[in-house]
Amino acid sequence: MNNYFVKRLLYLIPTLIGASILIFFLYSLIPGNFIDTDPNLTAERKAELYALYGFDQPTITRYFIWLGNLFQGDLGYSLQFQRPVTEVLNDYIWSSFIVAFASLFLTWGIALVIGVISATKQYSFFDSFVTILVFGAMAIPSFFLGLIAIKFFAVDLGWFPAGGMTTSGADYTGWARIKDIAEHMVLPVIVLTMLGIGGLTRYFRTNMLEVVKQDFVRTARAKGLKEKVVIYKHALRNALLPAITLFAFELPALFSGAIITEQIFNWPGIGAIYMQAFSVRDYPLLMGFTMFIAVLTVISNLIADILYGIADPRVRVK
Amino acid sequence: MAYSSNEMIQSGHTVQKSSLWKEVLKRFLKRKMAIAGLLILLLVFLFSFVGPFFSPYMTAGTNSQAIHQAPNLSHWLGTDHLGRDVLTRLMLAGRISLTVGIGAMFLAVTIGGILGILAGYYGGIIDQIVMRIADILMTLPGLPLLFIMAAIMSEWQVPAEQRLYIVMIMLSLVNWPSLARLIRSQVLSLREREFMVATEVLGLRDKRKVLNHLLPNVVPLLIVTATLSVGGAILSESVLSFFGLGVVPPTASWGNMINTANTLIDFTNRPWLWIPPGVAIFITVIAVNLLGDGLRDSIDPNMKGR
Repeated sequence: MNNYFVKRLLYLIPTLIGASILIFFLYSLIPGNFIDTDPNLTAERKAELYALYGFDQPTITRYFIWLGNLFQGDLGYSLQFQRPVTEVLNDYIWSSFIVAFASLFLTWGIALVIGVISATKQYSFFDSFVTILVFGAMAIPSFFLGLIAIKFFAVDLGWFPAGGMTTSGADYTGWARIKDIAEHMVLPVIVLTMLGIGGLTRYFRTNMLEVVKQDFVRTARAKGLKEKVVIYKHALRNALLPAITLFAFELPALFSGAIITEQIFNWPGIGAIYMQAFSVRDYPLLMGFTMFIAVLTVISNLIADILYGIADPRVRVK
Repeated sequence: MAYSSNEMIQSGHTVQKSSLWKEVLKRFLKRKMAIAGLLILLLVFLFSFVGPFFSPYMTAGTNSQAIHQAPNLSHWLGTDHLGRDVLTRLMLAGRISLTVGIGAMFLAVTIGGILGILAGYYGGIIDQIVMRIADILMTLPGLPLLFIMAAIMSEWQVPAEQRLYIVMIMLSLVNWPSLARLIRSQVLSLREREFMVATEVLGLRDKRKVLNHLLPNVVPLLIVTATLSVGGAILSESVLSFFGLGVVPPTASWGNMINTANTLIDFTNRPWLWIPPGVAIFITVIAVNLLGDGLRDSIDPNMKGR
């Protein structure tokens, strides 16, 4: 096990270096530069700024400077915010996190219940209904779902605020502030939950159907256990095991911010900041964020593999 | 002599093949949902490719006298800010969105299929190179990757009518790694099966082993993943076009038609401009997924789910 772990860990290094190369050179291919977006600058001032931020160096040199700083945990300096990228990320990631966390919690809870019920009553009315809903949820473009939600629940019915994180102008403190943020969270969380729920429900349903067919479930039934115990204790546990892996894969999504949803709901999270940084070509922020997500992805893949090995020792890799 | 025995193998092969596909067809026809998906998809195709010929507004273009009309008898889905008939535009946009979806699928499946088969069959250094590149691409978040490519390619000054080809290329570049990984794992398991060992024993050439024996066994998986990936490609195209990075006006696509919702007054007061294209995407993708699911269940009843 230890040996395997070390091997996997070493395996990450070339992947991450490859990712850093790809990220840096792709971003450097994008036309335009933050300094060029300001039309008021004279040519001399531009040249000065280019030299100040190191844009006058060749791309290769800049890559190694960037990589060297990465190893020291320095993601660079955001041109737009005039602050270190790590600080900017730290400021905006948490508002993305609370939305992502709430919707992840809801998605898993609802998908688990619906998936299991629909599997135990295969081909029933409920099951067909769920199947149709699942297909529906997997076919809606996320931005369209967001727009529809705003149109009906915010504009027409006025139940929830249309966007933002707090009511502008209001100066709530304490519980009033928390309630205000919670109200603003409702629509984005519902949209994200609806987007994620389809695939997961299907996953739980197929897993459960597979497990129920197996011999140990028949044995449990044969020794006269109640159907409830058979399903919720013996079968469900085994159906849940592979889901651990899936859960690990979701980790980066907690921090990456839902770019589209945040943009639609004007939620001040890291996804919206990414889009904003993209339009003004704030490369240090863009590269820092993308690299951060790449590292998270790689780590969560590793966690998924290890958890899977622990949960199901049969699949332990040679 | 050699020729005739070869022919025998060939004919035996086709007989078995046709009965396999007959079986598949029989199973497929039993799936009502899949057939419904297929029929809806046919209707969407007719709507987009044949529909415009029945529209009196096909050649009308802009009409300053008829801007911002709500749905009425002469304009069933109303008109936009240039007085264009929304229904006609919806049909024309369908051509673009469907073309992008299918084109991107073909490219991605071709790249992913070829690289996956090569990596799985030859293993070793080829496998290492292909799969490491795929790994690296898969660590990068998909949407930012698409944004970057769109920004780079916007520099090329591609005319608006040809932007859809750029979008196809972008989508296939992002989607091939997961396809290649899937195909590779299928090839890895096929490689160890008796029939492939037999080709080894017979001393067949690589080309023949791969094309005549390996490929036909990968085709079912290819068909299923290809179908399902069309839906994903249509969704991604709509996202890109919505953000103005995909197909750009005056060429209409379902995604960039929804873009009008970014104007507050159109969003709140003129829902006929942006709800129909969203519904069109929704219906098309549902139909594609139903069809793909039905195909999977009828081609290989054992690979249900996932």
